[in-house]
Amino acid sequence: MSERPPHSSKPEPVDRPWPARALLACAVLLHLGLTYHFAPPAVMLEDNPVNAIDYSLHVYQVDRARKAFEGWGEFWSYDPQVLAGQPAGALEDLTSRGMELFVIGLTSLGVAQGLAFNLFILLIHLLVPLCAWLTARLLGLDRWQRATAVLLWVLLWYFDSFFRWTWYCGMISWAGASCMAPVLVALVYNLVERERPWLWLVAAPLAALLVTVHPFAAFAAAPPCAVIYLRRVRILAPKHHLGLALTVGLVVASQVPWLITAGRFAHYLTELKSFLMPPLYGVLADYLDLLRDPWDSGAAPVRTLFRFLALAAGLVGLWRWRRAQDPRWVPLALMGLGLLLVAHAGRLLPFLGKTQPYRQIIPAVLILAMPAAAALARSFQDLKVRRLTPGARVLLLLALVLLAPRVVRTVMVTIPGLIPERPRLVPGQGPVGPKIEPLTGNHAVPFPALRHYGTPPHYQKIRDWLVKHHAGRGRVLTQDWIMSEYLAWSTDLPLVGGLEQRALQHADAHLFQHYPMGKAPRDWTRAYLERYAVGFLVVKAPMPDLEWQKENLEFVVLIDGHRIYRSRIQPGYFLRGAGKVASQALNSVKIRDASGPEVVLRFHWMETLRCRPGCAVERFAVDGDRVGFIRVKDPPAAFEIYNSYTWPEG
Amino acid sequence: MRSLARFTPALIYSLHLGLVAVACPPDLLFGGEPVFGVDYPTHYGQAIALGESLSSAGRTWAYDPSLLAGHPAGLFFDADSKGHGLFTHLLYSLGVDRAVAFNLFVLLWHLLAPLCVWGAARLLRLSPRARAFSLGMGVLIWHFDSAARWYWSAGMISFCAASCLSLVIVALFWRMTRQGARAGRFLAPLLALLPLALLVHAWAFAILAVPLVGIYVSAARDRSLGAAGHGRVWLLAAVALGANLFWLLPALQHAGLMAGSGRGGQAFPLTLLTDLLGIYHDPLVGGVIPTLTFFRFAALGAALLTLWRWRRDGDERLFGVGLALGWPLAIAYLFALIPGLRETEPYRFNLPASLWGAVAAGPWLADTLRGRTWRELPGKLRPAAALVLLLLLPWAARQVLYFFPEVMPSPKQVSVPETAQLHPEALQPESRYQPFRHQATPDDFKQLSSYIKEELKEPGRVLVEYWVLGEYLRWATARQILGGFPDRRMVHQAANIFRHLPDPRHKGQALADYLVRYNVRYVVVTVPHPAVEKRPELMTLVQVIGLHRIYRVRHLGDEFEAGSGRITASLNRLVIEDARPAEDTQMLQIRYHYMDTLRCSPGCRLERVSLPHDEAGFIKVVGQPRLPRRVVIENGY
Repeated sequence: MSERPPHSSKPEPVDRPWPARALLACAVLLHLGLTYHFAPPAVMLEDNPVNAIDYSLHVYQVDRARKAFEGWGEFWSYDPQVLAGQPAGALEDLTSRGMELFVIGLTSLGVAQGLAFNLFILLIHLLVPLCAWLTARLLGLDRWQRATAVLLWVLLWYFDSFFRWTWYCGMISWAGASCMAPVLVALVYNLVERERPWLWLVAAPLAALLVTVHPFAAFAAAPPCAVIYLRRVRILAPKHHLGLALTVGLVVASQVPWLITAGRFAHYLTELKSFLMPPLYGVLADYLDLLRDPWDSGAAPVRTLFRFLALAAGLVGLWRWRRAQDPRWVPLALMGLGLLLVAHAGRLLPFLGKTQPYRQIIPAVLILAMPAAAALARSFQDLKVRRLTPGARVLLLLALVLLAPRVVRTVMVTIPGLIPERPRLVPGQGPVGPKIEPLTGNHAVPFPALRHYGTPPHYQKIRDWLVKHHAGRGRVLTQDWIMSEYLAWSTDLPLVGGLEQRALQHADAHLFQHYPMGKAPRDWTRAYLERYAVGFLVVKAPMPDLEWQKENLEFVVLIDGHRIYRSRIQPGYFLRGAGKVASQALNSVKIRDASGPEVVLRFHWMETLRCRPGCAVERFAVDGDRVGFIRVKDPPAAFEIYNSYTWPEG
Repeated sequence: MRSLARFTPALIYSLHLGLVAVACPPDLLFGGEPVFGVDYPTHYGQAIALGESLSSAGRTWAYDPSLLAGHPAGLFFDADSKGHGLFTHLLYSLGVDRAVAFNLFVLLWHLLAPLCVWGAARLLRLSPRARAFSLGMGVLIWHFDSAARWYWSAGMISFCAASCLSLVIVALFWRMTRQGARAGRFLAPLLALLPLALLVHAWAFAILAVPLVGIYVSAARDRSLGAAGHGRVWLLAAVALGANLFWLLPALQHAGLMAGSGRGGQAFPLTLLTDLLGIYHDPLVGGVIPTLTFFRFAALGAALLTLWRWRRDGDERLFGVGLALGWPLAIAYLFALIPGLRETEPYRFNLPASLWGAVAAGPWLADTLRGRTWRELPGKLRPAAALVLLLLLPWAARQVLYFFPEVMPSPKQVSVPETAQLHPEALQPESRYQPFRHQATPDDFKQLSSYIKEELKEPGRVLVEYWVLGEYLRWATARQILGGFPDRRMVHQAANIFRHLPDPRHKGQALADYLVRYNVRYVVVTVPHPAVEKRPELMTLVQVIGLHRIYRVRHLGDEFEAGSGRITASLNRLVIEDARPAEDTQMLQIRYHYMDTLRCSPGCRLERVSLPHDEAGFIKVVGQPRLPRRVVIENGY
């Protein structure tokens, strides 16, 4: 098992740069190939935004932010078409600002909104190897280590299940910020340790950009940056302190406008239904590739081979750096291990629990991939196969052979089509028997290919039907919240569905926030339909308790598994008084033919709403709705409720 | 530590017993019902037929009119469970409940399997430490290799038994040919075990022939045998053959009734790769169980390293063990390429190969898995080695965890519409995850059996689509069944139109003709077959039980193709009362398969009537000169 003595007569081989460069090129090419597969140009270069889970919400957010910016120079607005009126972009967009700014920027240059949205996603995919290389370079890793780091990031990005879930489901801003945070840490390390104060001019905007793309990235990047700075604070030149001040200033300046607005609406926030917060023992399930809870680690098969490779090798690398008194070990250990702790124990802390702490796995693993790359590259360099004893060689070979299935399964689960389908019948089963999934041998639906895709065709069919048959008949409630977000940006239909976890009082208008499985009492349903003037209901999942309420709902049509019902009430937007809604659009609700001493509109009230001409908006308390509706006393025959963007004093 | 090492085999065997208790709970074994699996109902039916045949005719085979419109039960299809059937009959004769006796055979081989591995290791003079590793690998393969698990849980327990026996037999034979003057003491166990192995499963011959011949030739070439040694070998061969002639001769006499098989277990060299990678290949190859092969390949890899060392050291065990391991491995992955040899369902031979892997892995594992190995590893490589082990552990754990869904997390469902349809591997353990333990007969099978017995009173056969159900109903009811195991390797299986798909008789007039020709009165369909079920002019739905739909067939036919009468059918015997010949003839034709050993009395002879799609043909009874009113047709052997 021992190494053979080196042949002293032979000179040591010269360290040539091309093998490391070749590895780097292979890693980049692999990344490009996988990006082509998972983010195909036919999807990403179309004016049809990616539509999967959270992406549908983000498209809506971007759409409203762009319209608000173009119309009023603001990023938030009063949106009467969603949830009977809600403050769009005031609170929940804090984690999508970078995306919104990107899309607004590109659309101002003439790029279509959907295409701009997709380009943001594609850009983040493409930046992964660059961020890896920059981080490695700034941390002073050598050529082999840099190439290994890039390869590790690429493997993690596409073959670690949570990484993949993150960019697939729509947490693309977090995925991007997670890649940028290690760059910032490495940059600060580089400029402090190597006395390059001019690099603060890069670090400051990068930090501002980072928190704009996703503010939670501050939790990842700030502590290690602080440690790097504080360790040398006494010997740093004044330029560094100025640089730090500039950075902090830019970060604060980039966030203050949003935070001020958010603060003004904070009283509307409700209890946040948080997820991505596994228990401590969840790490064991992760390690064993077992899905414990899809709300904690993503609704996809768990595959963590490369994660634990990076973690374990990263620990080895950190240990070696510590032994060598390498200054890199403290900030990287703090960031990597600290974030790992947050990811798996964050639920125990009240505030961190609300930040979906498991997300921090991504920057933790990415930063630990740096010492991991150092350790792995060194191990490979040390591993002279020819110098190993035959026993060590075969042991190595056997271990690799036995590890091969795990590698293959990790890769193949992401690309199910790699295994050709065998049209063989199961013994004893007929021509319509279930197929067998090759990776498990179970009868099952195939693994979902988690690639980016545009709007599903059945969404378009349902949208077309609703647009054709809605005819101004109240609001539309959809049980499939993703579809609701899609309808919100692709039509002018008034909607009371959307994201089920929306932590706003305005979500009182969302039936499925009250009764996620649709088990609403019949009287309650009727009152709800009337309160929010619901004209149509679209249901995808079987909800017999709701769908069999024949006195409240009338079945109209079945479209690709979705049942569309018409409410048996006559939906009207006037709780008191009478009139007609002439139009409802962003920041504006226009009324005509108003009559009566006062009108109460079934639209949510908001502090910045005003009435014109010659009328005033008041809040009208409504049972079952914490926000309340809009009351206008002595209304003119025609008036407009609009968002003034001015706040009442006091 | 030494005392601990001494007790290690006992500890490992205790662990094995615990795993057996989980997979094979006593209340199931002794509950009065045969264990259930896709093949067990078939073997239980065979055991009953064998017992009745022995009791009534003193023969191991009989003409059985209860299945496939009459077929020779116990002739050659049962060659893979003759031992199981005899064991069951023996205990039954001694007063043990038949189902319990049947189950005890299963338990017996659970208990003996690791002992065979250990015994072979001991006979091959492996060190105690190496034997313990062999035993450990054997236990891991028996319980957690998907092939082994599938075989004993589905019903191939006799092949498992033959595989285990083959280890001891080869090891004993190797000792006998190498032992010189003391060789005789290995002959006695061989004289018992080799015939027993062939009796338990005919493919024991395929497992053993080449290794035994190879070891014999090798010993003969080394001139280490002597005349007595040659005599012992030939005596063994003669006894092994002679002891099995009682079932082998009738099978050979009726070889013309055999039908081609070669459908199941057809693995190819590429299958070796998919097996290694844990990729499910084909239900007809490895069963409907996920491919979990970590311990198999760990054992085979370690075994190869042992052989490599033995080769380096000139160890005399190399040839015999290498052949015993390599031969079944070659059968498993190469025989499907060779016409004629496909009939062996070759993939199954990975089990003896894996078990030989466990035996031969012992020495290398015992030598390698020591603290010394770690200490001798270059310091710079230790982290890398630890890393590889760390990454291997989840894959190894997965092999075990799959069969214990109770200890797995129970994930919540998600309400995200686009991903709600998740794969069970993501949301395990779902009901689709089967722990592949021994199980009781499903409730719906029992309900169906009760319903048939109590409600379906009209005469005529029951055509059963799901073959496992067909085998079950064969012995759970008194009805004549068309169905059962689809690959019975005899021409009579053509009476089952659900045997191989597609069957031309599913369509048009052919289906109507089939239902009349085989006197089908009821049809039980489990998996949807629209072509058959959507024929309201031919059949009407009368009941749905679980997933099974029961149809009553409309035709007005009976068991006579020509002539009339009343037939009473039992094992080896058809009695036609009130027999009336077809008009203007002295003959009648009945809808039962013909066999040339059937005899007719009094004053009649039998002829074979050709049938479309069915080589066996039906029986024509011809009066000599006039057809008697009472005709007795018996198996004359």
